[in-house]
Amino acid sequence: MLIVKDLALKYNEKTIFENLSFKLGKGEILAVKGKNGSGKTSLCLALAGLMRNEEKINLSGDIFYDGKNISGLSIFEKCLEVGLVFQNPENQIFSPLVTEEMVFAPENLAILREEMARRLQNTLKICGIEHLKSKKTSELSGGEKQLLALASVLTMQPKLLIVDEITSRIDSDNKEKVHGILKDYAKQGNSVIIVTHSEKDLEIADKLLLMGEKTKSED
Amino acid sequence: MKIEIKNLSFRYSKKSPNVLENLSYIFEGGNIYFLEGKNGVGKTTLGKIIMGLLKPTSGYISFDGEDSSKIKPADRAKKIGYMFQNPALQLFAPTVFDELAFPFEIMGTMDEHIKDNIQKALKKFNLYEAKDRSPLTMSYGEMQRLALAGISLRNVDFLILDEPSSALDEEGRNFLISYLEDFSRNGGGVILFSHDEDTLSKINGVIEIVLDNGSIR
Repeated sequence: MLIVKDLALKYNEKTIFENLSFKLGKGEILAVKGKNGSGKTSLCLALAGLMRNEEKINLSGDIFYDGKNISGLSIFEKCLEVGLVFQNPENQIFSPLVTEEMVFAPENLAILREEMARRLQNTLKICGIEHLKSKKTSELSGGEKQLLALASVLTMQPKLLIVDEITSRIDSDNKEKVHGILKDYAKQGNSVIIVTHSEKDLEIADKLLLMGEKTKSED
Repeated sequence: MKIEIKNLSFRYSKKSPNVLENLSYIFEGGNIYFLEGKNGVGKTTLGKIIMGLLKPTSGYISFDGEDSSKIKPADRAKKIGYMFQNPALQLFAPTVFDELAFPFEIMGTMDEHIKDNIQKALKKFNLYEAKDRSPLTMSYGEMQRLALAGISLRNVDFLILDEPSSALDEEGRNFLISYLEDFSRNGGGVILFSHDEDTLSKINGVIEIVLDNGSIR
């Protein structure tokens, strides 16, 4: 269970969002929608524990994963709780080869080799990217990079999967595939947050969080 | 302006298969072309070849009959505005205003008239409040608006936009549609590479074409 309580973000004294509170249970999909600059991507970074108070950034409030405050979790523990697929996959992908990218996180989480191989094969299959497994990541198109970024986070099997504009560069066949992957992932007892401007993405969500001047959540 | 592509083939290395295969097509000013195609089919590659960022393996491209390989990059940039799929790749100035001013500063053509145009573009593209911000602190959608604003100031004949609406909100998408319609009404040509059928198929008079198996059909 994810609980967000009174989360607020100021950037250079400008309020990006405030009084943000919501809950997300196991098996649920939350869609986050809002205008450009309303703080959707910042929220994702905060939920993944990738945003902290700095010179120009003031983040306040609490984020709990199964009752544990994210501020008290180690990087290892955070990786088990939450995985984020970045809006721009080029900010996420760094390994030379597709398969290296996909096993990087499990290797660093000390997942056993046999289990890692199983996750790799399984994720290549469900993401429909088996044909890319021998490719260099630099050779992939934008849409293929989005699918690889998703696959790489799925191999970590986080309890909360956050995807930021995951279908923005993906063709129509693969969009349906991604929707199926996210629904199945939630059905397995995980939670999913999908940040999107696409009406079709909203259709798979159980809840909606509207970011903007009057941020509100709806079931 | 007319962009003619003739018998164009391209592969990334001698060992790899052709991404584009004997592709021929004519893009004409006054039209908006929406080029669709599955992931990995070569849409971005084609855009980069037209812009001269990649060299074709064979075939050629002409701009109004002139062999494009003989056109200098600076002259090519005066004719065509290119928006990268990842707008962060083309934004680098310390502030939004500086980003818009950069091409004029570098060419030594900055004057009061251009400064005035930059102010108008900031307002038109809903960036005025962000004019002193670093582009790299902006959201992805804001970066897309800024990249297009920068191109709009250069009065090019053709726009090649790679996934220009992928991170835009509804307001931004509606603005993009009306901007492109105005641009083509004034004789400009537009090539859009995208999967955003919901937005781009709404453009008046849009010509939908498909890149498949290395060729346009």
